[in-house]
Amino acid sequence: MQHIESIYLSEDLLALLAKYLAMETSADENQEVEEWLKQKPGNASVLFNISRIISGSGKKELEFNTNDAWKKFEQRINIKAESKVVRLNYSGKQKIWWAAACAIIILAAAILYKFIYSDNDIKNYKGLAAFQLKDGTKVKLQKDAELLVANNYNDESRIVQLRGNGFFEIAKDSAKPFIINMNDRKLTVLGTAFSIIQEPSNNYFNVKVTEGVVKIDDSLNNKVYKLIAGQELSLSGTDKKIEVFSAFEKLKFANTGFSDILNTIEKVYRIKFVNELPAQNKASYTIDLSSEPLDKALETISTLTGITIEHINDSTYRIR
Amino acid sequence: MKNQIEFEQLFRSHYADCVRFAYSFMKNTADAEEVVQDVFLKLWEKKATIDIQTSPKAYLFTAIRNKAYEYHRKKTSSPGMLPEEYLPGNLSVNESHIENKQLETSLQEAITTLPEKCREVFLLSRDQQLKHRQIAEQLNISVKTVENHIGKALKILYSSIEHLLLIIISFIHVGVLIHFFI
Repeated sequence: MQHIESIYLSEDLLALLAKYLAMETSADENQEVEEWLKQKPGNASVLFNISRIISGSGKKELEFNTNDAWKKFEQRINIKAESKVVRLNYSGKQKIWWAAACAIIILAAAILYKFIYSDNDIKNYKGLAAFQLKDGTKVKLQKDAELLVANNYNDESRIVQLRGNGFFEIAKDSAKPFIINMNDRKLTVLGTAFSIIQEPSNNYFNVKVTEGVVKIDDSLNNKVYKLIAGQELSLSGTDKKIEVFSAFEKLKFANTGFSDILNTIEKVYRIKFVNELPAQNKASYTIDLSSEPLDKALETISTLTGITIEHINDSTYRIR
Repeated sequence: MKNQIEFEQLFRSHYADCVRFAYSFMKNTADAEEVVQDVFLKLWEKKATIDIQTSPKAYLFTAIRNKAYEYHRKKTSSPGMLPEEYLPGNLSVNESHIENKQLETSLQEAITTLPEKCREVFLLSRDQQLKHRQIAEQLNISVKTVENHIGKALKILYSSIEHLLLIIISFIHVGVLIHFFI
């Protein structure tokens, strides 16, 4: 490395750096550059500047957001940390040596697997999308939603990270609870079907359970909720003013006006109706929709009233 | 690095430079960000055992370059095959347009002052993204001569825009500090 220091920023050094950036250097030359980089903190800036000159990156505006990048990064490190915590919970004190031996074997297998098959530790699903995870769990993501799933999902734990809204039909596995991490909340699930709606900007959070049991650790308010099939939890308002209600019960109507029925369904399912039949509002109905998912509830209304309900987009329905 | 707060500071203060550096290999912001995320993730995993305090940038740039090399080796034989134009443009802007424009304008001016052959070689590398070997074949000269021309070009260009680069880097660092305190 002596020759590089003596001809600092010489044409030879610059040619070497250009070659390095063009990924055309040999292993020895790579080492030479990397050692030079370590010599002075300013050398990294020189390399950075050379990369800007060579790549012409100044010709184009790069668009990215460091805040969003950090949030994404935080999610990635959290999901990894959770996987590790669950693994530790499963090892008993007396079995520690066995656990250690197993861990080494698993680790070796994981490294081998990663080396052979995989370039990423985490799979990133983005909405609109419907897909199945490797344990058979079915997921539907709404627009702008994102689900991060570690490659070791279902090996020893089932932990995912969710941003935005989604519907889940969880494959039953009593040994491995399905855990969904969100920014401030965690859902632990044992075989069930439910939907999640999150609106962080309005501090709105909603879980609607159609099958099974869901436990919600709401770290934002330091509370734990347990919901069973047919129950719904909605949290709204500011951090200190939380409103909790079970809305499914609201879907039992006795001699109720059509427009009131529509208003209640809109609130419970967070959807919008475009009603092209205002005359229908005068009619009253007795109907129980409390144990039906949205599509079934709309089908029942349609059968009862003879109207047509058309799905326009993600959350809007037309009545005609 | 002792904790997440310290790591976040490191991430925030170097992320922009890292993405720009990665972009020079990936030619695509989304891929550049992915590479940078992967590099920071590896660093996070090794934070207990690794000491990068003396020059975090040197570590990050080396890791980014190696990750990009690995990516291209697996995906395609020639880097820079994914033009930015094919990407959705709904992300927020994070770098001063004026600084970039100034730099590019000065660079274009400086390129016109290069000796003819030197300029020809440099532009084939920069704009056509040809490998040194390909330039050598096209111009019927040796790879060593190509390297010499590029070294010479960089020497001239670097010294002619060094002043501007220093100003831009100072602005970026002040920007990072302001953002941190806000």
